[in-house]
Amino acid sequence: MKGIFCLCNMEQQVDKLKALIKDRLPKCNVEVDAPDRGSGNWWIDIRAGKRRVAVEYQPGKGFGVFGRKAGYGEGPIEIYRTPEVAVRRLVQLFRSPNSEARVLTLKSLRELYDCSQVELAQKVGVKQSAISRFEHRSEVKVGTLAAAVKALGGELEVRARFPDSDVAICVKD
Amino acid sequence: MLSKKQRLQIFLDRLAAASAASSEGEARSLLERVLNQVEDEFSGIPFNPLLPTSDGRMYSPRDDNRRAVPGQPLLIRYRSAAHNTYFGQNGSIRIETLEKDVILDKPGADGRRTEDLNG
Repeated sequence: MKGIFCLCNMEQQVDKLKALIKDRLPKCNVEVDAPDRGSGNWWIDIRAGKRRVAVEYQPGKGFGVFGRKAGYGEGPIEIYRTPEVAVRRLVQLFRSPNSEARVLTLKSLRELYDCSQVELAQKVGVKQSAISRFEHRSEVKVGTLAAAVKALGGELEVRARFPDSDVAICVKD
Repeated sequence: MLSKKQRLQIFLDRLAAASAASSEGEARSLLERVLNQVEDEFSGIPFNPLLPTSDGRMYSPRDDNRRAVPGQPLLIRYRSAAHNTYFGQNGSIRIETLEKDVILDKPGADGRRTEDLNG
């Protein structure tokens, strides 16, 4: 019974994503490529004209969004745990023709989590003008970025990958 | 290091030139071996298939993306972001883009391609 519940739950997550896309991106065509096995991954292909975004739902992990030039067998660029956040990101990608799954600006991240500059400024403890300047800078302090991400409910992680290691870097102002 | 596009072409060339496989399992192993070799030589990215997001490296088809092919019991399909990879029970391999452009069509050891395998 547990296996059946899990399968239904996965299908519910994908169905919810489809329903949200239909509501928020009504001009997009959605095709679902379902797995044979209950524990397999689901693919959701969203198309609008020549634009296509592939989403892979991995049970237990979430919705992976792929870049336009995903290589053979390459993993997702971004992962979203819930269909609601995944669709907010898809809306960003389809409404801005030049946007690409990979580069998420602080502005895009703030909008993804439905937060205005004023709200973020209040949470971080700065003026709204400071957030505006921050979003337009090409270089930012890691500590400032960490504070902004924390205020949005997340945690900033900086990693360094070498041929022989993969390590997290301590983020301190 | 080479670009993804360059590495993909080298992978396809090497896989096409390799000796044919005689089963689905052999074909999958062959593809994985050739791809990993190319990525080790030319990507500059260490092998780490457990990463949740892309590291820029290409990886071979995964079990959790396996699908049967309706009406063609001798074929198995593996889905990835931009491709479908088909393996025949006779060791044949076909890789297509989602737009159905065939980028590799390798026969199995018996000389048959995936399109020649009918129920």
